Amino acid sequence: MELLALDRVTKRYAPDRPPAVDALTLTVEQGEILALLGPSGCGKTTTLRLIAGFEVPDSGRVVIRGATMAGPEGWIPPEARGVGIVFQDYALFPHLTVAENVGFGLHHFGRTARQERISQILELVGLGSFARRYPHELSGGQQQRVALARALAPAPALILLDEPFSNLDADLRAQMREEVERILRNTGTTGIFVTHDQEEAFTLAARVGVLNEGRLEQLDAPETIYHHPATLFVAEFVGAADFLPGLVTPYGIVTELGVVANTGAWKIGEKVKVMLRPDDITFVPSSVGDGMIIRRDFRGSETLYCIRLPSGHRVHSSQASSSLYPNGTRVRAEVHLIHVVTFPA
Amino acid sequence: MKRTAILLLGLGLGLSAALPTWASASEVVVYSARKEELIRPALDAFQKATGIKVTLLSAKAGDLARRIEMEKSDPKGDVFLGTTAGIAELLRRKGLLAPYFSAAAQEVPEEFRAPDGGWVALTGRVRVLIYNRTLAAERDLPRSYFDLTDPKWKGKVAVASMGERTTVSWLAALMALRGEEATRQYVKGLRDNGLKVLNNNTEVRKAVARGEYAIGITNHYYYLLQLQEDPHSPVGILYPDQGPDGIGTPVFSITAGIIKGAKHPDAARALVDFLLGAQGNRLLVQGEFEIPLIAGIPVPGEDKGVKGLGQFKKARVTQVQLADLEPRVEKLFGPFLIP
Amino acid sequence: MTVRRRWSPAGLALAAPTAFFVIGPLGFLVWMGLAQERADFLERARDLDLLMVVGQVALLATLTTVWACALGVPLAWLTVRTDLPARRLLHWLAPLPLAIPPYIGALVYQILLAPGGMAPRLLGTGSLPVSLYSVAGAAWILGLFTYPYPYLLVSGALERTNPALEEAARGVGLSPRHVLTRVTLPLLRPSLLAGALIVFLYGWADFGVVSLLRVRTLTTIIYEYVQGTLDWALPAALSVLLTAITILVLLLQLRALGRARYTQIVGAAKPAPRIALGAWRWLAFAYAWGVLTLTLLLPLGVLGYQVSRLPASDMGAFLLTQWPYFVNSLWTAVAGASLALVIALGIGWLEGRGLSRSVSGLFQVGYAIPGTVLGLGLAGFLHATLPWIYGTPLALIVAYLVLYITPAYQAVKAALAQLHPSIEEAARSLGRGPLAAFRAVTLPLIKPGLVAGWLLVFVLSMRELAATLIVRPPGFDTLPVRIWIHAMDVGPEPRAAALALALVLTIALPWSLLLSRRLRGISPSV
Repeated sequence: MELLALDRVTKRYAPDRPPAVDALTLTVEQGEILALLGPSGCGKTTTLRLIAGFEVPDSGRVVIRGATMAGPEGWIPPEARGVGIVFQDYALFPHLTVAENVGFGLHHFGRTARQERISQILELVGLGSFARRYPHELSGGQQQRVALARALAPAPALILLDEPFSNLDADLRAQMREEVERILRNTGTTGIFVTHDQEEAFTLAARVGVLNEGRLEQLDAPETIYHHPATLFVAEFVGAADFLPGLVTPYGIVTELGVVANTGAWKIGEKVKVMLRPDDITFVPSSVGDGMIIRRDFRGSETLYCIRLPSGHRVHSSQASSSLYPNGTRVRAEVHLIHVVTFPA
Repeated sequence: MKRTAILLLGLGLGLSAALPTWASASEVVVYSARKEELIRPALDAFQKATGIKVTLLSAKAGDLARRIEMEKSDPKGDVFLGTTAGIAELLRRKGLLAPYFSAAAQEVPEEFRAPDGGWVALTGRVRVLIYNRTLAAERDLPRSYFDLTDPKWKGKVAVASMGERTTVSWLAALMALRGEEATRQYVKGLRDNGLKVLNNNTEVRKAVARGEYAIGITNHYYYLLQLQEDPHSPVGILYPDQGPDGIGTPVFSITAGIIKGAKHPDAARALVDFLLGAQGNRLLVQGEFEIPLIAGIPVPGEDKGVKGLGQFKKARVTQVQLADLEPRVEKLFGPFLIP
Repeated sequence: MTVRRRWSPAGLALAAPTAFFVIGPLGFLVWMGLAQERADFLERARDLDLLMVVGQVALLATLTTVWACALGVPLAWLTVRTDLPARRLLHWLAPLPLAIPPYIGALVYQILLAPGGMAPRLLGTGSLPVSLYSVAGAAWILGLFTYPYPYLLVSGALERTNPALEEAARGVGLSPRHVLTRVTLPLLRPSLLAGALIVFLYGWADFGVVSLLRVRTLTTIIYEYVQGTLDWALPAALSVLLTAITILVLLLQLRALGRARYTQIVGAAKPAPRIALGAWRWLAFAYAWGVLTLTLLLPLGVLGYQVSRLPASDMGAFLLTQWPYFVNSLWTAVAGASLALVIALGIGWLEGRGLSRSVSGLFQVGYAIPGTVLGLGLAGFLHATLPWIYGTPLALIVAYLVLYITPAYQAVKAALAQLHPSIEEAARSLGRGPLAAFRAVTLPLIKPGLVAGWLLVFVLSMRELAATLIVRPPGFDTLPVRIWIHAMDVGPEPRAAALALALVLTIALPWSLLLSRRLRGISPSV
């Protein structure tokens, strides 16, 4: 069942500037977790605010559970949308205890029902014993959990998370990510979260939408986004990628590193760019090799080499972390493409 | 929220407590340019005698007159009490005072009454010189206002600012008797001689008593007020221009006028009657150390050298003449009569 | 929050009357001033030595500023950054002289220093070599009782500046003295400038002190014409001139401060290490208590002594008769402060919701209007437009509102600025409407700021004199007016002193409340 639908939603902050969100169309299914990924200023937070009702779209339609929230026929304010939000800075109410924060959205509940719901949710996020603390007495991870609990308490149909993990330390981030995913799945809550971190988007979401300059470039499963980027922007933004020029011939696309299959059905004689991920490229040291290692980055679980080809193009190759070749080593680079991705030159 | 409620409640109570006092029927609103302390006893006596509540606005005459003019369409005051006739006459000419011929006013000499009954003088004040006895020997004292330009008095003479209408009236008197040009020269001479302009007559009397200035140009009752404050003050009183060629010493007056369209006309008339009546006028004269304009009331301070009407040579100007010239004085000399 | 710029009815309902009361009186004065014939005006301007007067006021304001900063800035540094003995007590006492209106300070120093006053009598001379009745004397008084403004702003800035900046300067080899002159002081510049500006404008527009000390200024000329004559045109024209220069100074200040950000505010920075004064400690101690003696202990002592000169029973009877004036002051100030706060709150809230910023800019003009001018303009304007307000205590409340909406608005804005908009949005997303969210979340969080703003307006209204003198209705005097009447009629005698002491104590209580709040930190920690 379709829970949220955005239909050609456009939002412009100033008439003389390009729209922050440009004719955005997407749907989210009940129970799905969707990530909106993009660089800062791409319009992802604005999209979230349009869904929540903090912004009014200039045109287009926002529909939640079949009811129009914003569109030509009118606009429903945030408090009437039943959408929960976890803010980047958590926005916990500093003058209220954890329990009061969580119970804030339960003002329609009776007293006992409210208490029950508060303890139930606090148990869910593992903060049962913190009910009487104030937000400033909690650690960052705990504050995050309170923010999530507060948003979940009224059982919203949809929960929006704005860069939810950006204020956490790296190790805590992975842990919270798992926990949030567990909680959302256990409660069957539909979630949309916004991030500029692809790893976060890939691990948490079933589908990822990549936004650029207010437009949705691609909306697909993480694997598809990574291996079959629909646009040059997605290819570049998601994962590392090098591009080698290629010429389409009857035998395939000829590049400096060999011939790859013409899966894109390009016409013969056309010039294209072939996308190469670091794990598509291997090399062997060779005194007659025409490539040269010009940089090595040790990354712990892998080592990333930058190889300069005779044409001057540089490609990156990901190797096991045990691999150890000094700069200046002559190598012969090879391409092993499973997914051939090409773009017009 | 609770605090706000209490606050609003308090406000409401404050308002309701304050409102009825403006609407009270047996009330008279007095716009008084007179020192509050001096006029209070007479007003309190009136309130006690009649049961009419006196609401007092004490301010300088110009401020009060401006209010009266502004409030023309809906007067807030009933009675105007001025420190000279000048402002009252101005108000009368603008049609802002209602004529009233009090029976008691017949006792007041004619020159102290507006011909149409617009205002009437209650008591008199004489424009004298007071001097510090330790700084000015008896034989050196000036005989005339015009002696004050003598280098002998350089930096030793003080006068109150234009805010005190008696200062304006004084120059108006000189102008009436000696002409505009002579007065202009005289004021210039005073300024060149370091005439000090103080805020008000109280400062003049205190400064002279303290010995900051040898001579103060002020009203006679300040001499008595100073002696009342400190009986040992080394101050003396001097009636200038008494000689055969002198212009005489000007007499001004406290004037009362009923404001046209006053909300409480009867109470206003009652107040004027009271202040001109034997009891009220006596209280006024005694409280203020003024000289009586009505026969039969003793002159306060006679034992200290204060002279009643007829006991000194009075400058031959009427109150109306003074009022005529005052705007001219303001215009010509106002800028020099500011501290 | 919608970013659509529009005039909501609520916004108009709040903004229109306030704008009306700010613009109206000024417009009225301009209109009255224009009635003046030009040649006539020029002639009188020459007679009044108007250029010299403007120069004299500028000199007075400058001297006042220098003097106030000389008192306040070292004291701020000493109490915040050094191991001065009893610095906590000093830090609490130092702003308290603001509870003494400068005109009361002038009364006190008249008793002390005027010819024949306590000091000359003690010294056995008739008068002192430098007269109190001079520009220097007025600057002395004004500086003594306005130094808390630079003190508060500079000590606040000193508490907020990141000590890491000073440590960094030490790290690159600057000596402590160079750190002070090359890092600390430049960082303080905006707060110093802001404090100096408040004092400068105070000196520029003061009426009470200069009038008592007979220094000729634009305000005293205006007042003299208002109380002595029926003339409208000249005082109106001078009022317009006075206000125009004030607004000019404010605009210049905006330009001067608008560019750079200096204060690096850090949330949880550790307090800067205190500098050990060593042998200078006791000299600094003497200096600090010297300042407080001149500005707080001596005035209170003199007033107390003056009060004690009248027998207690007489004094009691006198004070009983003055009770209604006290009540008048109290409830108009309470009403003025409450109204100012409600309007400021409404505007602050609506400003985040599309209300044009020019509206709040307009209110700031009210702060730039000297009290004397506002009184004159407001009386005429109210009578012409809202006669049912004219001649009632409501006129006083309107005057307080116009004069002090700016501090109220600034307090509200400062409190709101500390709230991230997401706080209110979170409440919206949890099912609360705009007003409910405001009540449940925003209001409790900004309450300390609102209380501070309210107290500030209350205190300022309680001591307002210049405008009150002109707009008060018959029979409705306030405490400052009574003090004024007594002081002008009889001089600074015991009864004036008793009223002054009553006023000071009434103001001091909310002030110390306000200050203890400031010291506890107004914002709740998140």
